[in-house]
Amino acid sequence: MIGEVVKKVVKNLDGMIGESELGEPFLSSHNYRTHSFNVEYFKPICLVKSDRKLAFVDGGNCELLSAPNFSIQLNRIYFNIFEGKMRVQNSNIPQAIEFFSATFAVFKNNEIFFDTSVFPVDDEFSSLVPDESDLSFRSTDRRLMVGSSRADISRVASIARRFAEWKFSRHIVENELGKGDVLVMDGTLRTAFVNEADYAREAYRAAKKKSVIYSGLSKTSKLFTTTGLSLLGAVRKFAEDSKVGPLWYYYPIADSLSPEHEATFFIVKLHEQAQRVFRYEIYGEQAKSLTPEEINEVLCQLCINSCDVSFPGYPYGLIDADVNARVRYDELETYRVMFLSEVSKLGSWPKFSRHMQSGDAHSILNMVRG
Amino acid sequence: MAMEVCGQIIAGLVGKILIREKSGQRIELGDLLVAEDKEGYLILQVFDLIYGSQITQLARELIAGMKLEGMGAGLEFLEPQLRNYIIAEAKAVLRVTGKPNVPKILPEFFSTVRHITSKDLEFLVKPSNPIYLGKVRSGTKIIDVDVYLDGSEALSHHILIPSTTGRGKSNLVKVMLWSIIGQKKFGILVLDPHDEYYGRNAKGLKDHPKARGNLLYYSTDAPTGTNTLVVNLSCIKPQHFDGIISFSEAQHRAIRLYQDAFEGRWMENIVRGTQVNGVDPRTLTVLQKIIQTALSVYIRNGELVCTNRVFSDTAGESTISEIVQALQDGKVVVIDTSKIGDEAELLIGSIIAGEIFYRYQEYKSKGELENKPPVSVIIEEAPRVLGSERLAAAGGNIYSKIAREGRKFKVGLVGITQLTSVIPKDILTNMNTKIILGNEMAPERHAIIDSAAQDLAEDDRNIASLDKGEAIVSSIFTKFAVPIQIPLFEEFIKSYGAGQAKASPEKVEYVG
Amino acid sequence: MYKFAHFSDVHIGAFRHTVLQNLVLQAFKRALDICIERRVDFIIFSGDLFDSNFPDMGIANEAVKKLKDARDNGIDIYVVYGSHDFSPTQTSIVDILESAGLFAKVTKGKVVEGKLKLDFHINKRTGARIVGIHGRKSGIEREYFEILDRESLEKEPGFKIFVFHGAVTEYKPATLAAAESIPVSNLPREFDYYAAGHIHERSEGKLPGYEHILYSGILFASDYRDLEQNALGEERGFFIVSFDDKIIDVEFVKVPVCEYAFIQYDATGKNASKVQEDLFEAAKKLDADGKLVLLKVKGEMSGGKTSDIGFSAIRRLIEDKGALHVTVNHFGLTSKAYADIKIVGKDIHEVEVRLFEENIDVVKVSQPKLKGKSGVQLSMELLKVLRQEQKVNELKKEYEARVVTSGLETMQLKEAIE
Repeated sequence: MIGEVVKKVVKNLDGMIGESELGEPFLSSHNYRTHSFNVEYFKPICLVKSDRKLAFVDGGNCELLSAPNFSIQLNRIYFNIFEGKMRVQNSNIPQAIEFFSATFAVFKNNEIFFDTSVFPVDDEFSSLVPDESDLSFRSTDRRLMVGSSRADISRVASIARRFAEWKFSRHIVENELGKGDVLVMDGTLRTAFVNEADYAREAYRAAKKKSVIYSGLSKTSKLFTTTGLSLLGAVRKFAEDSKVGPLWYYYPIADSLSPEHEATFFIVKLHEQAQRVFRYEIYGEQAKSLTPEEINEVLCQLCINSCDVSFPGYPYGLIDADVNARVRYDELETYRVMFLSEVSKLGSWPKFSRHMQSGDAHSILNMVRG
Repeated sequence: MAMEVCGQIIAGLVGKILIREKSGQRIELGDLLVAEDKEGYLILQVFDLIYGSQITQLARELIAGMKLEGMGAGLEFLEPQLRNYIIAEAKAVLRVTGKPNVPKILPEFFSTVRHITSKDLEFLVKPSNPIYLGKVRSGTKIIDVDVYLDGSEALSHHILIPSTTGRGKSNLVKVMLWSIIGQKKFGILVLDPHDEYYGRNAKGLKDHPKARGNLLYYSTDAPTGTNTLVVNLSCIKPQHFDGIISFSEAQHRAIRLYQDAFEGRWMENIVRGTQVNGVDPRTLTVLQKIIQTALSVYIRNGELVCTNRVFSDTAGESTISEIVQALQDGKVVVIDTSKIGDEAELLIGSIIAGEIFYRYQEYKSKGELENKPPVSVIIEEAPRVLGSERLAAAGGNIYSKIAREGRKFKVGLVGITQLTSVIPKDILTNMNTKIILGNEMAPERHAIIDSAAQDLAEDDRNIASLDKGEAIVSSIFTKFAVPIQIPLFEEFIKSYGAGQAKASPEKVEYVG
Repeated sequence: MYKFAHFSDVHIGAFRHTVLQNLVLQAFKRALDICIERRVDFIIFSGDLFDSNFPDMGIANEAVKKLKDARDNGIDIYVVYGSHDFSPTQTSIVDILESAGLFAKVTKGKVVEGKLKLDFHINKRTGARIVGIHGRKSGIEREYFEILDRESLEKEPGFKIFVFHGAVTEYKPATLAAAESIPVSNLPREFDYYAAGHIHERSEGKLPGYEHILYSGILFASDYRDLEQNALGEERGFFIVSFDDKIIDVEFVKVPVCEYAFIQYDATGKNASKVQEDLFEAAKKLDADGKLVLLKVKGEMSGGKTSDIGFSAIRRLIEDKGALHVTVNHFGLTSKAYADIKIVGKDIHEVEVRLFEENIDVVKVSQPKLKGKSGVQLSMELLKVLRQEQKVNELKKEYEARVVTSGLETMQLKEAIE
């Protein structure tokens, strides 16, 4: 019986994903101007010699303690530098920064705000973490709300990490990179939160000053085509049907008209054996000034770095950055215990627990379920 | 290699410290590593190696599959040294803070480790009565530090050399004996069933510069200048057969009667068939058969014959005394038993060992034992005399007596065996030094490990992987179970000027 | 068929007492008479024909007469030195007699390229090839055996006899287990006969490659131990060997010279007066007429001293009963109360050896030769030198000089002094 239902579902799905018509790239119309699919937009990535360095940046954060009205998180931003496949040792700034963030619900201006305080783990990181004044958000900010519900404090708390990525990236550009080098953030260059665009602009400014190319590569993309297909899936199908070569980039897809997303988009296939294509963005102003040869050279360096057998087609620098930025569960537990111990020493546990218990019913159920 | 870091401690317990290997360093099973701290350093020994990886097992399997199926062109592991590595499991074997002690602490967390150097082993000093074994071995690397046993202690506390065939036990014994010859500090009796120690046709103990006067060789086929192995029947007493040949009650009685009648010539008269009152002719016949089978002695044309030429009614009266005296004088006596049967070999050993044992018992009772050198008997295939089944069937013998009591009288055993598991635990426990060579049989390794002087619970794999010439010395006289490399005898003796010290013939003035 | 006689250890000149000296001579003369009677073709003396390299001339004269007698009867005589009748620095009586043509030493040879090459002496009548190595003190002949060119000896065809004076390890009696010896493997192989000497017990040995290794044993005696063995029934004599191209027969020919009476007494736990009383009693009962009497007393007395026992009186008593000679051995007798001398031994030789062994380390010396076993050996040799008696017609000055010279030679200091 169940088997029959499964067959029905799959058949339905198969029918809905109709690749016969790829449609057109679809992004929200007032911020972007899209370009129709065109086979001419596929360009091969030719391997050329280059000494451009690539800096990869990624961040991670994890919640240590939470309640509806507070969230304590550990945040970590990490970077590395590669020249092709070879790692280059950084020398001027720490390779990773860590800080705790404590986000609280604060009632002001007749509204609940979520304010975040930042506590660098080392004094050395003080200048590398975001300003607390930039980390105050209205809980009813549409960009943060979930449906019609107030923003989730945990999600808000993670914004500090995002800001820190921008700020740290700026420092990396200023201290570790030179003319022609490339900085690759993990994720899109789109700024989504209040004040985030300022951080982005500072980073871009620094990049322009040093002629460092500022870019971002997204692991995932939720963009679509007009026929309901995922954009990346459609482009990939297009490439297969058009028998495009092993390494390619697709450009243009859409032009950004939004000051919150100053970027030029590419869809890239970075290795012959890659099973995935990715969205790659370059800071718009810089992209416009790059020649096709320069674009090829940048993408070529990315290709050279994307030959790791664990994830063909994805830059090894980002794999490494992801691993090292991630806050692992076992680390978490150590810190959690330390925090709880301090809370207990203060005699504040009853107070803390009252609030924590108002939001942890799910975990209790999970425990009950086993 | 000297001070270069080869790994870093990342986790573990006292008995299992996990060390991540630095890429390119190739930590080996059995390696000795050093973790330094403020007060001194810890010596660790690697007993296992496992793969570590930052990539999940499934991913690695997939990657391997891709490579094997030819789908991995252009793909590689970037920064392989970071992501795929070896984890060494090690245990702390010694803590050195001035002097060496049993370790009771963990090394500092996340401390680096390096390979051991000779300087770290300065506490291994040469004793005053040295028996050379080899050099310290770390994995397959040889450290230029010599390892000795103190003969005055180790020999009378017994030594066991467990090993399967072809692992170099004969080579080891030759090296040990070589270092002993000429010291005159201990007497060693070697029962050599394969005639491999003297060096009849190859390099051997005879080539030692001090062999003359310090090495005696007995063989039924004696080369020039060596002694014929011949033992007079009058030297054999009934108790010498204990544990070697079982006699029935009637046979025991008959033997006693012959002893009473003929004293030292009791056996000769049995062989000759001399009738004695009170002895049933059938019992006499059986005794003759037993003697013929065990000792190859019988009468032919009225003459007493011994087909293996060992026993005689005319010669060899002083052979046993001479051997015993030589042992007391601190000489090495090698008896070639390759051409005589098992029982004859054991009997000769029993006679000599018994004589020494009882003499030394007497010295002790007179308060003279202190001035006597320890004496040790080297016996191959020790289960022939020390095996549980043998002891149960035939009763105790002089060898088991020495194994159990010899220590009190400075008489020891060096037992060589392939089968440790058949030797009773109480005997094994008394054998306080074990020079463990390679052994691929798990039950044997367990028997060795269970009776070792140090905790070798984690060394099962180590022992299984010991190559020819590699050994572990576990002794109550060593600070830890020392891994060693035994030198090849032929190479070892080159440094000792083997065979050079013969007197220049021109110097001998002949008076005719 | 041919015959030869094999003697060893005659020790002519042994003993201080004339009676015993004469008994030695008597045995020798009787034995040679038997050889003459039995028409042996030649005689082999495998060492210690004489008890010293320079024996009493009177005794030696008698012996030489007999040897000449044998020679005159056409019997060839072959000898090797033994440990007693050889001297490294002085001419031995053996050399003199060889020069006189009385016999031949069969030890001719020389060291060539590190190998000792010996020359066979061929007996003209029988064609037997005889060769040998001398006996030396302290087993020094061992060095000769180590460099011996065996191959050339073994290759020699014909009937071969090897003559030597020394203990063979495999044939040492149990009582001489500690004595110096050479292993039989040192002897050249496949000789028809090995005429051995030095061991005073008779033995006939047979080992693969060495079919006939024979010790004829001492002909009579040279010390108390030999006399005791005789008294206990040991038969003394020599071998007559019949052969052509192989050994046909080996016959032991006994040469008894006297009867014995042996009193053994254990004084353990008895006091001196009791011991004396018992010994007197035993002496009175003894049939001593014409016998060589041995009195051996040992054990630890419970009281009194050994000097409390009238051994001289006991001896006289026995002598008065017609004993040929009385030998008293009380070296094994001690007294609990007066344990001055704790050294116990079977005979004086053993006592002396043990005395030296016990005390050698008391003297602090730097020369290794003066310490340990070699020190004891040297002490014994020096004692023997100092024991030499003044010869008849020898002036005191000459006697002293002789003793001093011998002593210096024994100590290997003669050249240094000169």
